[in-house]
Amino acid sequence: MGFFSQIFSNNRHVGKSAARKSRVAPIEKNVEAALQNNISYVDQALFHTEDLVSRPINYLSEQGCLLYLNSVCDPDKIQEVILKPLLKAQGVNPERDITANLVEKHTNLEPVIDLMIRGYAVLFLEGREECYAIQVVFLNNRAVVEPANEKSIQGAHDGFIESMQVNLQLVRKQINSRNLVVRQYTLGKMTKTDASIVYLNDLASPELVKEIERRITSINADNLMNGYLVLEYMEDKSLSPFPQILQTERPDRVAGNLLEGRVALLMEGTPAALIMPVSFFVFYQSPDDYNSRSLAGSFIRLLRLFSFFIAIMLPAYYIAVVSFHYEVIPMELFYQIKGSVEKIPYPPILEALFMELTIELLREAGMRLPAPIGQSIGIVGGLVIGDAVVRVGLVSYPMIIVVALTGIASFVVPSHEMSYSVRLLRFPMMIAAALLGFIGIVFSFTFMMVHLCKLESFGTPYFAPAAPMRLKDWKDAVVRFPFWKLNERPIDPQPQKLVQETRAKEERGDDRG
Amino acid sequence: MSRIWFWAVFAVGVLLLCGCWDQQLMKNERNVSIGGIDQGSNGMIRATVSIRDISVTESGTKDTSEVHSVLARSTQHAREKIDEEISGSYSAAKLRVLLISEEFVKNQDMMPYLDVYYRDPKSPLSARIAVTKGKAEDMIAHKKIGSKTIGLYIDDLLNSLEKSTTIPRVNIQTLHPLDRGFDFSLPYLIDHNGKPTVSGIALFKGVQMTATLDQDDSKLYLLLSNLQSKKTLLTLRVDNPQKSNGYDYVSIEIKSLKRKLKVTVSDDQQIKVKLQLKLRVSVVEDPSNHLYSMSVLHNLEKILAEELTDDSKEIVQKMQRAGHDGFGIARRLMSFHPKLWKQINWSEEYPKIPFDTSVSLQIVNTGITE
Amino acid sequence: MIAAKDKITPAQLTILVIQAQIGVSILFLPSSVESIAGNDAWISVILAGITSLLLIVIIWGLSRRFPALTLFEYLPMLLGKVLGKIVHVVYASMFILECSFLLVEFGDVMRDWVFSNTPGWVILSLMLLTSLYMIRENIRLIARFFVLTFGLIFVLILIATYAYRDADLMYILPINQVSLPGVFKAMMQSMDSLYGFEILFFCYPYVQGKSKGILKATIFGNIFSTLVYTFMVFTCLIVFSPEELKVIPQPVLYMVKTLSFTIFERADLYFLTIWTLVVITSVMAYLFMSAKTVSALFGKKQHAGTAPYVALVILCISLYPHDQDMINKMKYIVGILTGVSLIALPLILLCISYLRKIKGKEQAEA
Repeated sequence: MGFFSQIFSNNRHVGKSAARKSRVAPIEKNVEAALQNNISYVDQALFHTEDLVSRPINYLSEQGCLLYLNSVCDPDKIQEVILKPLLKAQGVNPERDITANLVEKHTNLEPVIDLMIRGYAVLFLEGREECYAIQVVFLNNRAVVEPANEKSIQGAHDGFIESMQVNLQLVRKQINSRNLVVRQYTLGKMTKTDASIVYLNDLASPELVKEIERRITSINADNLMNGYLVLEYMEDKSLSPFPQILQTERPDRVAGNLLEGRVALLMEGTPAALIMPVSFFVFYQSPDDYNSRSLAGSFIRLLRLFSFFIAIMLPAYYIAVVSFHYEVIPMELFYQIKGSVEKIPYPPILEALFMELTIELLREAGMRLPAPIGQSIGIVGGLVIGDAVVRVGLVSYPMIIVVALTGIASFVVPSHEMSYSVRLLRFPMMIAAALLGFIGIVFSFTFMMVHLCKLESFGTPYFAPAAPMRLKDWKDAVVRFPFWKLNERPIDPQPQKLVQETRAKEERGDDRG
Repeated sequence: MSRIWFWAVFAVGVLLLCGCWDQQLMKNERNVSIGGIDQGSNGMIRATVSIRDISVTESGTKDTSEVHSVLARSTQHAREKIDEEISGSYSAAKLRVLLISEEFVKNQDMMPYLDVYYRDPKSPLSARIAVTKGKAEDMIAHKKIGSKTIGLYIDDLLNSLEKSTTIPRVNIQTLHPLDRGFDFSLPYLIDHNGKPTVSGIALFKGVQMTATLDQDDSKLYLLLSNLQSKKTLLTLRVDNPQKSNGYDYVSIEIKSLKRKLKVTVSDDQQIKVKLQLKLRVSVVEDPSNHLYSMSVLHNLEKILAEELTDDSKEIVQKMQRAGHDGFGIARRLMSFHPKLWKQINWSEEYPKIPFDTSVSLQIVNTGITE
Repeated sequence: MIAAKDKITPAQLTILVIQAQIGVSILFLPSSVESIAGNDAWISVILAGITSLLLIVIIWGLSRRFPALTLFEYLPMLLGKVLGKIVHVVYASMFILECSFLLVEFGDVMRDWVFSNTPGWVILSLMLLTSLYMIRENIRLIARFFVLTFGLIFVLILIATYAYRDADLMYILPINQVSLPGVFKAMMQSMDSLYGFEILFFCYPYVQGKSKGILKATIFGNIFSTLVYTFMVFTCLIVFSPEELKVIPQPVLYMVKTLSFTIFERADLYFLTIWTLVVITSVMAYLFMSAKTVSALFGKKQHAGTAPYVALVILCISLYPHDQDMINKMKYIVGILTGVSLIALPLILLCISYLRKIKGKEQAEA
């Protein structure tokens, strides 16, 4: 059994610990005194890869060799921080002489090889049973620009890039607190990607951090190249239509969520942060709400939430009305609609499916094509097809209006992930409406609501503050009250401190401790 | 895995079942906008309907009206017969007006023919209902008045008259006849030069039409029944012997209204009704008087009040003669004197009840001139 | 002991009780009560509310003596093994039948008002499927859902309030036209609609706070539902004349049918739509209770496994009656069963508990 409740859950976390035990213990291989042995060992360990450069070098009187992969190392840096200083060197300790900011002394060769892959050059000296790994990584970062998919009108215009270091710096810049903690992990058996979780030590609930840590470390997969892959491993229910982890490319959005006691996951090569746990309403918040004044912010936010209902219900409602309950339309409108649907040969459900799928096709085509062509596809599709389809009598005018409105409403969501789910959800709704009219819509809507109530994200209720109901939190979830009214943080990520500001002069005792 | 199979089968099943039952596609239905019932031969009824169609084209919309008339045993029977005549399936869900001919409601009980409206879940209980002088069929046969189809035309006509307190707000639902303790009245339509016009209201005794009131009387009747709508204008005659005819009339608009209806039963079981109407009005037209002087104003108030009182008395008498209890005296007796109610024979008693009717009037506003 | 994570707040309990109580009867009650008590129907409903208050106190008194246990855990302690099992079966059949009856009435309305040709099993099985999806969870999640949908009851009230346009207060006069026995008979009739407070049997151990707070919460819920029912009955009484109410089985729907607004007509369809959601919550409550009872009967701790089978049984039972006669018969049986298991049995159990001084363990009180 366990038929319905677990239909959307997966048993990923089962048996993780067993898998972990079977990992191969690291091999020990000490640095030998003979220079040539070391070089050939590294060469073999890297399977004679051709981008391995070995440059003979003299350090004072000692003979040495500098090994590095020229695909990941910066030749200028090698020149600047290794070769030049070594020429002028005086002492006996190369660690002192090399001017690179990271120099590590190793006696074991295995970790050194891993470091070489990440952009370190290794200095071997004849006769010494140790080597020096020097960071000379070739940084090829693009500029910090505003993310294309999360633009804001007011507010910061910086966005994450593919380098985790830069991203971390962007977050740190927002919150200059010693409580901001970064924990680093290496993920993926093959990809060995750097990842780090960021949270505020005095805010994020320790159980939550522990749970996230558990989930991160128990993933046992070869390929964890980027955050989008990790996301599915970490989500509670991957088959649920609702995303349970927020992806964002905006440092200010990350900082805002950290300050509510949530945790962010940053990964090397991922221009986005994953924020967890999140509730449904977080997907409908945008930095713009906070950067504009509260009345405007509240209006826009209500409009967005309303758009959620339009996007999933409007086509279903129209289908239900046209094929079951046309009595509900007021008289004048009734005859107008009747006049336009009269000559359509197909039932409304097919009409709607046809048009919805066409819109999705256009959207996808517009996105794949380069920008100038993409726009013209939009025009061709939207105007030409839309008009022709009505003239031929495949689809009626009201249906075009409904589909267009739905399309627009589904693009309002500030999160791309949620936008996808909203677009998916309307299909079951439409089918239910074609089956049983309004009652069908009620059943499918109830199903969705039940699912939302049941869903949890990292042990916190997903549909908070609507279920469990906490009207206090509606001040920041559904509308946006002025900042000085938001005395408490939302309760759903279970922050350690609930109070975020006090209007009284003296410090008020905290009721949650 | 079996779960996924279950849901897959479920989804496909639902998809296949779409529109299997009870689907009524809007495009397949033919919607009646106005219907009429006339007396037919051999105890049958003649039912007439007008089906309104709109075709939406690029150049705009075009309204058409298609009229069908059948002889049938009952309303449902008529529906079936009309359904056989028309393309698509017959639907009365968007009916706006139901016309019944005077001949029909005078001679027989119309309620059996409305039963299907009360029973059918899709029936339009909010449709208006009116009595026509002459045949309803002829009225519907006009098809179009100006650019409006007949159903829309009569519906709009009745709607605007309801707003000006000329006819009562009635629909099929409010007609529901069981034991309400008051009698209803319906708009009375006549054919005036090829155009349907409301000449007043038809008064009913139970389910039978017994009298009519003209437009002026029906306004006062509605005021007496405390059924004032958004706007009420009365034009009354105030004789002015010195001047020409144009100076004879005064128009007033009722601003607010207070009605007192008191049914008293004396110890010897005599029923008495006291009906008082207090009006606050504004003068909108009065060519003969200039109302800056209070004495002229009070004089006018007196004259108008007397005239309204006389008219009201006449209306009440007419109602009593017709056996039409539009004020709900019976309901009051049922509620407050249930014992007496069980003893009396209402239809005999009602015409004999003494009414004490009076109208008082106060002018509160005279427009921008005095 | 029940972990703090699984507990619900007293406010959630209030809404659980309300949602379990308010269901199909919102449509049926006015006409069924009016047919017995005439104009005084609304008095009967208030009396029924007071009676159910007494019953709540009894159930509470009983549960208070076993603060950490649900009904079926302490039944054997009070009655012994064999008798306890028999009473347990009575309860199980009561819940199942009541749930089925709820569905029968729901299916009836659907057939009469919207889907005259759709086979009942389609609508009812979809309804049960939706409920099943929810009730396999624990009471805490169910409470969350009930709180979420609670606001819809107010929408129903709002739509019904519009009918005051056509209201005439004189219809409820004269008061006390019908004899006192009639009023009491009607009170028994309206008790059927107020059942649902028995969910306290299942929730008691899960509610946070002191037992007094639990009583208060339940009573508050009961008062609310009584008021809603009274409002509906009263509205129907003043909108329809007594004769009309006799021939209209669902007067509330009939009343809103003529309402038309500028943006939509036929308010009854919207009313039905929202009412369906209100009924779903009732069905969920009863299905939850049935599943809990049945799984306890088979000695299972979790009800999630049993629930689909219970739902299947309920579906079969609810499809069985196909004419008014059978529905009336079923109503009669349900009436007797609920009378026995919600009025008589709790009282007897309470007496036994007091006389034989059987109590739950004290440590659970903390």
